[in-house]
Amino acid sequence: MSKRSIVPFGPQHPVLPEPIHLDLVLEDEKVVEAIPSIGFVHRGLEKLVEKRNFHDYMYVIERICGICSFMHGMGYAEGIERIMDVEIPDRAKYLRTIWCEMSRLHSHLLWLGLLADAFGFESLFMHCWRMRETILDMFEASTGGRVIFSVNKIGGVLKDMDDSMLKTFVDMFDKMEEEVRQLTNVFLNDYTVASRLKGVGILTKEDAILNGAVGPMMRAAGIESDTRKLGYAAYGDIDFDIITGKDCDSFARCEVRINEIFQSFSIIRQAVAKIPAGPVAVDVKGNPNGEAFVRLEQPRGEAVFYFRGDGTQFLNRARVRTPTFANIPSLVKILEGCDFADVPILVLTIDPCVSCTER
Amino acid sequence: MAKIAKSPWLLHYDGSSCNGCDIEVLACLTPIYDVERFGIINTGNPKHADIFLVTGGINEKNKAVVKQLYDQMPEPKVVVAVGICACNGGVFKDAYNIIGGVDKAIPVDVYVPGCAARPEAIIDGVVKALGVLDEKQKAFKKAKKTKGESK
Amino acid sequence: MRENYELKILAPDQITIKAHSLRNKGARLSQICSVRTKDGFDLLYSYVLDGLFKNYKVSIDEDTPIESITAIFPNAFLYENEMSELFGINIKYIALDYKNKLYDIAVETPFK
Repeated sequence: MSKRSIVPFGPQHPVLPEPIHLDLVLEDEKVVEAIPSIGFVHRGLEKLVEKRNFHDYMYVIERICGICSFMHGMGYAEGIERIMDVEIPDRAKYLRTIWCEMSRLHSHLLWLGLLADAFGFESLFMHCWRMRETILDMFEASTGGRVIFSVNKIGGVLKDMDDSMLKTFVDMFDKMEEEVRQLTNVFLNDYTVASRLKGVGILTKEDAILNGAVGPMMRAAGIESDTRKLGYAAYGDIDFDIITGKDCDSFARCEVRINEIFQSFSIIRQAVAKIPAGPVAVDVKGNPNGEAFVRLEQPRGEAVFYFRGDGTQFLNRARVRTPTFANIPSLVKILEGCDFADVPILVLTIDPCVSCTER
Repeated sequence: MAKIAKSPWLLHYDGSSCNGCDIEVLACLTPIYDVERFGIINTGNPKHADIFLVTGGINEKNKAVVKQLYDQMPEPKVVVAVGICACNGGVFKDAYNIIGGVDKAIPVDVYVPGCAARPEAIIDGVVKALGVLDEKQKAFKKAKKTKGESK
Repeated sequence: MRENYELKILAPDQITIKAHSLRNKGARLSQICSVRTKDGFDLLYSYVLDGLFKNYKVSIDEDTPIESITAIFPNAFLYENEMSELFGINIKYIALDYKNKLYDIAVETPFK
């Protein structure tokens, strides 16, 4: 047996935009074991619920993560609406669906860019992020913010999109789809990409279930699991299939995310075609009293929200189990037995969002 | 020593931000905003860097990391705090694990407010930091010279 | 449309037994969290079985020890470390025990 050594990876590392720390136990160049340690971004936002009025807490929960900020706000709103038994207008549900899918588009393009950067394909990184800017412009036009939107409220949404705006967006998406297809063809057909991703970081179906993987990690292992199928917001009226991969490797995860980009375009088109007219919010009176679970499909996978109120304006407990938190055990699993030089790319394939993880 | 301000290298570290400012910092480097036209290059190595961009507030665990990164950077160096949480803690100020802004750990030269700070604001901040860097470099050279004369 | 989830009450000594039976059925552990109540804690174990959300509520006293389920679901280690650090719940036999240093918080934990 060769000598074992421990190499610390992170918290500051060129490939990581965010701090996470791994202790890698190496045998020559092979990783035998990885021990994650987190806490560099821990702020204690779940506890902050005791100091903020439940309406104001919306602005805190959105800042759990700047990438899925819309969905965190939406999960909170859905949870409180459930406790207070508020039914939101149909138009608000459709608007939430559209914004959700726009978040997914920008998050997946962001991830594709970071992945390209991690394997040293810089021009691809730049192209992905250039396309992402178009979506951020749409967000800015419709909500007023580029990354933090603050557009959800308990009882609906704060802003409406008029028909001309929706039509412009659909036209823009049609144009974008062509461009994105050209771009993703590089990921899917280029041999340099395949040589870095194929057969690397295999997470089998059994391991995925055992380690509680969520989102594209799980779907790339061939498991049909998509919480959007539960039909929250307007997803119940929209026709879409669950995208799965079969090879269980990094390439399959990349493929799943790419297919989800095109699925998002289709969902947005359907939602725009079906959106009903009407108000976008209802008034909410009183304080939440009770408890509720909500599950949402974020770009990175299933997120679980739990809220408990006791009839005062401060909630007792807010709990957000974010997708990256659930994917860390799977990351540890796929790191076992990989080459040391593959570590950065494997960390990226789970689409890590550390500020989500630690809250 | 030629003018560093003509091609400063950036080091970016995420303190405890929500990721919003981080992706905006990265967005600055990409085609729409493109800070590379100012000669700015993003690096992952603190020993290469002249400008230190920190996003997010400081907590007990990352205080040492931020300090250690700052200490590793060669003189002269400039620190830019990006986003309101890096300035004073922002929306997370009351959270139990946040000590405050970046200035609780290291000296900050330029503050860029905003939640999340817009790329335009970040670029403005970096350009301002170039001015500070220039000043610091002059002072650094002078100090070196007088030190040399006294020997 | 809202998801109809199940929320069942479970006795503290049933945690590992339930986890075993769910694992044999092919469920995955979705999350564990704890809520402080007047005289103790509510622990909420959530599993997903065939796409359905199953939740179990375990009410315990301040210092009742409970058994870890990391031997059954290895991904439980993060949740259990979090609970023992932030809430001070006494969990026995965690596979990878961070000894209350998961987040490594400056202020005194657990929170009262």
